[in-house]
Amino acid sequence: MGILKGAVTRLLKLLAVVLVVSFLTFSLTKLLPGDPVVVLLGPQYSNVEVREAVQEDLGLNKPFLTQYVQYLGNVAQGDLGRSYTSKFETTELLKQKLPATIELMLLAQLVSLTLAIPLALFSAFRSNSRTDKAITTASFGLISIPGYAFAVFLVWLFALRFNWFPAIGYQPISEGIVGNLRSIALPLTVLVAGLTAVYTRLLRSDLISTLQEDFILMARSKGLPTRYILARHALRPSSFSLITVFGIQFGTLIGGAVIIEQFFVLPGIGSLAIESILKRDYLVVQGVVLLIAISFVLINFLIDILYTILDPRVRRAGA
Amino acid sequence: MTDLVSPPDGIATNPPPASPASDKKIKTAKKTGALGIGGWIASIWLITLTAAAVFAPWLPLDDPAKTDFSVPKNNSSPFTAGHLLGTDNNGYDILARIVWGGRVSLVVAAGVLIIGMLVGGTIGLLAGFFRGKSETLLMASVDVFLAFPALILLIAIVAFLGADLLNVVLGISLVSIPAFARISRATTLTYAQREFVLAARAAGASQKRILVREILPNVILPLLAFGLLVVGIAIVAEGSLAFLGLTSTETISWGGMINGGKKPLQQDNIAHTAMIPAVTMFLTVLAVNVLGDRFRAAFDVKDSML
Amino acid sequence: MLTADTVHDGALLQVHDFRSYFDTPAGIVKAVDGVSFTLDRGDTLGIVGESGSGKTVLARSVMGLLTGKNVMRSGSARYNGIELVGASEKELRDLWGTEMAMVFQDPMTSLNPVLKTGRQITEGLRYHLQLSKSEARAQALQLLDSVGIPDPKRRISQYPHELSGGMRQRVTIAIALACGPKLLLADEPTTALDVTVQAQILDLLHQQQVERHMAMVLVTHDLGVVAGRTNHIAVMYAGQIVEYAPTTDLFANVRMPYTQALLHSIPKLAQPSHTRLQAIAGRPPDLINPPSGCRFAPRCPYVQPKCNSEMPPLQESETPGHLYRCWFPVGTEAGREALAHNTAAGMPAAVSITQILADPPGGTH
Repeated sequence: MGILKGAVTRLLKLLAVVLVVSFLTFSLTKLLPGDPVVVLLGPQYSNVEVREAVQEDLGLNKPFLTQYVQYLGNVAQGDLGRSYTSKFETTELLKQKLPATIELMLLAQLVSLTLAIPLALFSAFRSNSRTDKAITTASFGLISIPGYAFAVFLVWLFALRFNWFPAIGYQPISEGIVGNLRSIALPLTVLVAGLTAVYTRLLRSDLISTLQEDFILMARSKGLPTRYILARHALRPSSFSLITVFGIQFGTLIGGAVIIEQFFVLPGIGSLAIESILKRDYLVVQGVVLLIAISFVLINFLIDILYTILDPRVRRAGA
Repeated sequence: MTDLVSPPDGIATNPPPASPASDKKIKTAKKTGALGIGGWIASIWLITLTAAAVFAPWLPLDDPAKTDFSVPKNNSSPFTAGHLLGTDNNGYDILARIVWGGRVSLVVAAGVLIIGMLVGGTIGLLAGFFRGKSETLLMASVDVFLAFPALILLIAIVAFLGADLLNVVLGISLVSIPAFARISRATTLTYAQREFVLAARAAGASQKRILVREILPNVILPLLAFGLLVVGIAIVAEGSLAFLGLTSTETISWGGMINGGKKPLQQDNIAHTAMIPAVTMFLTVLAVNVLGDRFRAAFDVKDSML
Repeated sequence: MLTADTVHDGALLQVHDFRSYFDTPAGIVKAVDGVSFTLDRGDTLGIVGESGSGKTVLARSVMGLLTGKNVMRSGSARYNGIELVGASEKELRDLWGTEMAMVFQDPMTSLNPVLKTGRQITEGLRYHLQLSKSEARAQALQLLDSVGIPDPKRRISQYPHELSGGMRQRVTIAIALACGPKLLLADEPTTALDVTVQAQILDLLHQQQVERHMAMVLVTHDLGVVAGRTNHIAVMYAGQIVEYAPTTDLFANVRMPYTQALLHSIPKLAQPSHTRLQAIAGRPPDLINPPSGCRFAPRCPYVQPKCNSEMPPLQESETPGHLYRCWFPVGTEAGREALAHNTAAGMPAAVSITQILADPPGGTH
């Protein structure tokens, strides 16, 4: 079927994107200065034989492309290599650091959408009212706040002044949900503030143009309740750009998470990335980037599918 | 969503076709000017900041790198004698560092704008005009870039190549090129099929002439409007690096000041050291965004194109 | 509560001195400015005018669909004795769909692109008549069948973009008819359609109207559309009714120069293919500051100084029920003199209409 074929083509394209990303990361870590052997043995270690043995052991004396293909082969088997500094498997490290990041990102997206949809509906439905202007201005302001500046402010106010939330640290869910939520409340707020603002603005402007459509007037002339018209007739045709940006924001969020995790000392992918970059721990860097790229590409693949579900016109065009 | 019974204002009321749109525009323009009050305030803020940054060495400011330990507790509040915005925990004058930090933001903004517009703009222009393989290649690389975590790339570049300002500017520019290329391509595409371009083509104008004379002037303003948005992001990005302590400590930067302000925040619960640069950065990004918003409205760049 | 059956006298819709103004930044747009008419049960009224004459705004605001903060309605519009002007959104909503319904101009935009046609028909049925899902579906199938859609079972689960323009307009008609309204407002229902489909849709509307004993307001810019299908015609110009008459009488005894001009702008099949159409020179007036005299005066071939200074009242001609708004009506001595005077003075509009009247198109051979 057409849809299936389209999906396969798209998957292949996504695979290509992941391959290119992995290749770029791989070459970047090779091109940039910093020798893994030095990282491994320490800068003082000068025994040439040992150095060469280590090089041999890591496969670093082989030609560049061979190294890359070998790496890819290992990746395909789920082996991302062993960290030069901590001696942990990269996959093990990722597994350790993933829960905090995933929790933070999913919650941020979920809370933001939950806030943004009603805000945008209200704002668009009563566009130019005082409430609308307040919502629009607030979201414009929130978009302009640098996350880390906001984070510093929140910590000062809620952690130091009022002592409501811990300033730093992460408590896993396994150690109690309340403590867990308290520990991520502040970083979550930082992410949610920006995201909600982005989503509200986008959805509001799309809703306003949808509400001017003839089919909304038609729905009203049927005598349907306003709430129903907003939810059933207006929201869906207005949500296409929202969904696209929703997908892209996963990428932006991972970037934002780097800083947020570092500042709030959360054991996540972002802080792992920074630590391993600073320690020249290439394999871990490669693993992190690959993981991020794959998740980003997969999420956006799912979003593409969601798109065709929401808009029947796309379904036919794709077929 | 409580009071849905009273008449809705936003919902399809289809105002009369007779209302003359042009008159309306003239009237609103008269009321607030094309920039609006917000736009004017934003412009004044940015112009003041730029002027202060450019002329910083000649302004009657303290040396931003000179420690003044005559003030109490190594950390004085704003409005202390001799220090309008107080000093930080190193005894540095905060006002002086804000102004000098503004220089860094200015350099980053200008650098990214110039490099991004020149490189990204040209790539997008060519891809949108000639289509074909160059366009496919461009869109493919945009896909790759989107999947690549930009901040991690930026951190890697700065960490490996060295944390001086030049590398920071180059790194941020590099990361911003795909976005510029995308906007430039989208705008070029809309103009490449317009009547005046077809007319020029029919009149036998060369490809180069059409590109430079007909299309470029139309693409450059929307691109600049988008560029303002990127400027805001670039300032924040430079701040991020400084905030993470990845840039050179000798560079005075707002992000670095916020980072430095974390210490008194925790030790002495004194917020102004971090808050002053944070608010400055916020206001600057806000001002840039307000102006960008006005420009995009004026040149009809849709948010969805970004 | 008042229901459709409590009032039995003929008038279903009584509109009196109805106004609909829009407050815009440029000033107050007087889109509908003092319109009165009466529509009996089962009858059809044609409202004819150029775009911008206020006919669409009239239809929409009588129904109460225009509800923005900047919309000002005044005067009276009574449906079955219920005053619509000043009624709350909730009160109006109880009438919409069940008592009155509207068919819009462009079926490409008036159907929701992301909802199946079936749902767009059944949602009204389920909300107003409290039908179950399967009852509503059965009803929708029947409706689609009655508006002449073949294979309704397939169509009901399709999306609007899978239907042709004519088919879509049939669906919107089915939607409008779904809850059995007594009054149908059709706003240029055929303008966006292919010529070949136009007659089919008009016939469908007429047939449904007769079957359901439903009154209809047919809004159009095309006198040809309303000619054989209406009981009365109201010609609108610049927010006012300028001529109102039983359909046959209007065509037999045109009084208003604007109506005459509209008549001459219709292409006729009998005309030789290269006959010039008489377009109406000039533009409709600014509805923010309309002319103080007759609003058509600036474009009128019959115009005299009096027209520019005094607004003519809507007066009855010798035929009862034929109203017009003109100082120098067509077909009267005063009108002939005015036209002759203008022609002699070399006024282009007057010269060309005189030529057409002397040498009727299609009558040359």
